[in-house]
Amino acid sequence: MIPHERSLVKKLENEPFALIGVNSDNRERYDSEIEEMGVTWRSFMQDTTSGPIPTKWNVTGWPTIYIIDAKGVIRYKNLRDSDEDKAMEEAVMQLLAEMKKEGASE
Amino acid sequence: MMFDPLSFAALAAMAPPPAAMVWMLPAVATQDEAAKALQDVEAVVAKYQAEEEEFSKKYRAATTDEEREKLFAGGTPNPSKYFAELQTLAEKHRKTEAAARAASWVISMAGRGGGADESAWALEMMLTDFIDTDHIASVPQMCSSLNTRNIGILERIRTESDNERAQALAAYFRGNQLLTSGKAARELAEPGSTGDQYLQYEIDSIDDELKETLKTSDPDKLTKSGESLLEECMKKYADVEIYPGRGMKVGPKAEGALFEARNLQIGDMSPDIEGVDAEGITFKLSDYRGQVVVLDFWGFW
Repeated sequence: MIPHERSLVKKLENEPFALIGVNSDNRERYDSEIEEMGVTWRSFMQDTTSGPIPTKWNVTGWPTIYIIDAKGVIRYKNLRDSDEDKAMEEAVMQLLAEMKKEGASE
Repeated sequence: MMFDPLSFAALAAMAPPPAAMVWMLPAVATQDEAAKALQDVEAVVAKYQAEEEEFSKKYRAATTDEEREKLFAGGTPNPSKYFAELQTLAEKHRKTEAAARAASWVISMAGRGGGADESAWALEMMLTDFIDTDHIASVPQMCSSLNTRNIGILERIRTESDNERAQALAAYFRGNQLLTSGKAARELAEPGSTGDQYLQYEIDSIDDELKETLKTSDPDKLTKSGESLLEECMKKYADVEIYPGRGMKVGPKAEGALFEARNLQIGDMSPDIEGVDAEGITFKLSDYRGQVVVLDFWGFW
C-alpha cells in the first residue's frame, strides 16, 4: 500500500490532487518510520485506531479509503478490486479527467 | 419430579446411603466434578492451541515462499476435529461452566470456517441452556455476518435473553445487518447502483434464500429499521462494552454506524474533518476542496 501511495503522490504532484491521511499509529512508531518509508503526505494524527475520526467515520478495517471529487462529493469507497492499488489510481485519474472536462466547458 | 442436585448432594454427604441404594443415585454434579469437567474441556482446547502454536512456529521459521506453500499444503490445524470430543463433554455436563466453555469455543472456531455442521449442537446448546447467562454474550459477535441462520439467532437473543449485554450486542449487530440488507437490496435490484465494491463481497456470502427475499424487499424500509435499532442501542446500551477490556462501547459504535449510513454513502457530500497534523498544525479536509482527494485511513503497524 504505502509504496504505491508514495508513487501516486509523486506522479500527481503537479495535478490538483491530494492524498490526506488519517494516521492511527502511536507517535513514536510514526516518527520512526516516516522518513524511511518516504511518506510525504499530510495526515490527521490519531495515535490509535479508536481515535475520534475513525470512530466517527465508523472505520473498522485498515486501510480504508474514500475518494472525494473536487466538489467534495464522495465518489468511491471500499475499493476492493483484486488489485486495489490499480483501482485507486484509475479512480483518481478518472476524477481528474472529469474535472478538466468540466473546467473546459465552463 | 425435579431433583435439586445440590441439596441432594448435601443430603447424600451427611448420611451415606446404604450400599444397596447406591445404584439408585442420580449422577450428581458436585463442585469437584464441575471443576474437573472444565479442566477436561480446557485440556482439549489446549491440544488444539498446541497444534496452532506448532504451526505458527514452523511458519515463522520458513524463509521462502516455497517453504511456506509446502507448509500450507501439508494442512493447517483443524479445530473441527475436536468438536465431537467437546460435544461429548458438554452434553455430559450440561448447564455447567464446562459446557458453556466447550460450546462457545466450538462456535468461535466454526466461525473461522469449516465444521459448520458439526457445530450446530453448540449454538443450540447456548441458546437453550445459557440464553439468560453471561455466556450467551459472546454469541452475537460470532453470528454477526448476514445470513438466514444468523438473523434468527440474533433476533432470538435480542428478544428472549434476560442478559443485558447479550441483548445489547444482538441489537447492535442486528442493526448493522439491517443496514447491510438495505444496501444489498438496492444493489440486487439495480446492480452497480451503490458503487460500494466491498458490498459485493458481503452479498456473495449471503445465502440464496435471503438473497431472494432481499430482491423483493424495500431497501429504505430495511435501512430505517436498522437505523432505529441502532438509535435504540445508543439510548439503552451506550456503555455496554463490545470487546471487553478494549474500551469499545456500543454507544459510539452505533453512532458511527448511523453516521456512515446517513453521511458516508457514495454520492453524499463528504463531511468535513478538522484535526492536527504531525507538525501540530490544525487543518481541515475542506481546505482541499477544488482538488481530487484520496482520504486514507492508514498506519504502519
